[in-house]
Amino acid sequence: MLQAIDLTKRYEDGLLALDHINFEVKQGEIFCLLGANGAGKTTTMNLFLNFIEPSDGTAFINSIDVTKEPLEAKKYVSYVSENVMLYGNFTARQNLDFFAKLGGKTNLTKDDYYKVMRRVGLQEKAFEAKLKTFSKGMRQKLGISIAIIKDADNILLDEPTSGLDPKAGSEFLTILQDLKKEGKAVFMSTHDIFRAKTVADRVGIMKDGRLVMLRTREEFLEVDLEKIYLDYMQEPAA
Amino acid sequence: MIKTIIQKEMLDNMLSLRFMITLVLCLVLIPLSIFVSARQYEKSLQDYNQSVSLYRESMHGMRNAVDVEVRGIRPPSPFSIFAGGLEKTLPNEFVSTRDSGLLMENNRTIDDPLSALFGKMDFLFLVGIVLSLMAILFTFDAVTREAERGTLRLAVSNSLPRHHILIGKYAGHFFTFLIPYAASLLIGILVLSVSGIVNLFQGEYLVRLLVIIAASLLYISVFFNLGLLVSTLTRRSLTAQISLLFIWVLLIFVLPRASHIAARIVHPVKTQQTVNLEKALVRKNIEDEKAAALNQEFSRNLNDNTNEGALKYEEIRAPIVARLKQKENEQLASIEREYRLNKNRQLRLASGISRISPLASFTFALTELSNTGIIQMDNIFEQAGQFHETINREVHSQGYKDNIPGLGMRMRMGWINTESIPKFYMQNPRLSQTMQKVWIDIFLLFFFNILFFAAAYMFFIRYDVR
Repeated sequence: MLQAIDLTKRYEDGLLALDHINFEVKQGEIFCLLGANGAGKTTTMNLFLNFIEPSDGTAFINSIDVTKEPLEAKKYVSYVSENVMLYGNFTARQNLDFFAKLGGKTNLTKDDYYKVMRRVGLQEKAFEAKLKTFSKGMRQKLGISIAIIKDADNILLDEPTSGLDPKAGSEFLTILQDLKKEGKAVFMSTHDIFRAKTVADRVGIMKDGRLVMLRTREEFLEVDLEKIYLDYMQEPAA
Repeated sequence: MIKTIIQKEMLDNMLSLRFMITLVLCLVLIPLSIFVSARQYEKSLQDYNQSVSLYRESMHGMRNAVDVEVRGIRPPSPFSIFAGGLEKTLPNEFVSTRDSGLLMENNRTIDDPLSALFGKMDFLFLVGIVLSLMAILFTFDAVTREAERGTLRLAVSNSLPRHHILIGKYAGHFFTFLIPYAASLLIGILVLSVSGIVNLFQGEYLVRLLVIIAASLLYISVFFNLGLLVSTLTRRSLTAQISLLFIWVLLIFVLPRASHIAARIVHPVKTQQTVNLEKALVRKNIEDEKAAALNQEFSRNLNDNTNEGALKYEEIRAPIVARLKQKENEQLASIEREYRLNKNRQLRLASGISRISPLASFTFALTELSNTGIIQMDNIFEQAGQFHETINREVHSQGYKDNIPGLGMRMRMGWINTESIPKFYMQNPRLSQTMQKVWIDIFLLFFFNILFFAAAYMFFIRYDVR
């Protein structure tokens, strides 16, 4: 479970990037955070990964305070970033093997790696191909397979669908549904309101560092989410 | 976890172009430089043997103690194969004379003017310059490249302490570098063994060789850590590369050269030429004083050219000459002592300043271990001085030649069998003596490693991975 309690981040230059954010993502739930560039989505993600420290408030992963026990908390989280570059001179399997070991999975076989890569829709011929020959979509799929293979309770996805073609995007949504069924707590930041509507159990909209709207699936299906989102985006800053 | 990172770093490096360049450079340059230096040593040894036999052939029969010039010839150091150091600059012969004192000679011809112009490409040069550059080219983007391609963020998102990443990166890069380095060094040493020019696998030679290799590894490691440090201080690989090249130029080319200029400004010392002129003046003054004293005695008591007069002359001359010789020795020793003292102070100051650069410590360590450094220079001058004293005592003092103005020359040739003239045998410093001088530089190389790695760690734990 992921939990943000009054999570606040003010940078040294005085910029308030995150202003007392509160939310939680339960096991078996997909939470999508929508917002324009600079709204604070990636900052929230960075706080959960302890890349930066909060000015106030707390981020919890499985009830572990990320700031106090970062290494313990990170055992229970996987992460997929927006632009997965990985190691160009390594094959897909070698990349997967390295990050799996960093994630604590030291006894996996070649078949285990192949299975995960098949699951995310990578073609067989790509398994042993060098990553520098991969398209952005293929790299993104491998990034997702890295998150899956760690088998953590919580998955953080930072703009995971950017650069994916419609087919890959659709396959990705299927993977998310599967992860949800496995009981993972999925926290995804995205601009892609259509995909968010398709898979999210809850949606939050961020603006200027604040969580301005939070709706459950039942609630946002009853309203025109696109319109609400656009209205928030057009509304002048408070 | 560290093992995983080391394996990844090694694989990543071995698949890179820079590894191939390092491999080719090491495999070509190191064995070649060892082989060429070994051939040069072989030639120097032949020249030495020839000089010794020619000199011994020329020294036969009886010689007069007044005019005989006794030579000391120094063999080349076998370890000059690794570090030429001062080998070509130091005197390879010296001549002990009665009138002009001890004369140092360097009669080596310039066989290769380009080598003299550009410097010798020995092991010291290859490690000191070429491999230190390769080391920073290996590590300049160790952190920045990972930050740029997002893999650092992904790695740190795991339950992975940052010092594991840093240790893994250092070890991974260093071990990768060791592959071409160890292979090329092994080939070089095998070539040297097969050539039979010098056997390095015996007693003290083997220990010296091992210490030289250990010092070279420590030195290269300093630049790996420096690369790592600058990489943790920058956000972009290009910035890291330019910054490191600038630091490298400062450490390798500017600081060691600037140190002795600074020392000369802070602590100026007379030139050797001025000192020689001062000594010559002392000798002339003493000679004049001797002539005046003998003239006085001669005029008063010994205006007698018979054999009896000659014996009386020698009887009266002896205390005067002994007194003046002692005076001359004292004055010459005072000039020499003052010069050596000031020169040593200047040298210590210059060495101290230059040690800001790891290259200085490495050069001092390697040249001393190769017997081509400053200890060997002092050793040669000391042994030459002792030999000169022995020759003065046992040879030159057996005759005399007194030029007494207005009264003519008085002399005794003092014929000596050349077989009885002492011969010079060069004693190189023992390893224990060398190590007493070298430990500070080995320690400094350790210190630089720890300093740069600790600084890299301090910055890396605060490194913004976003």
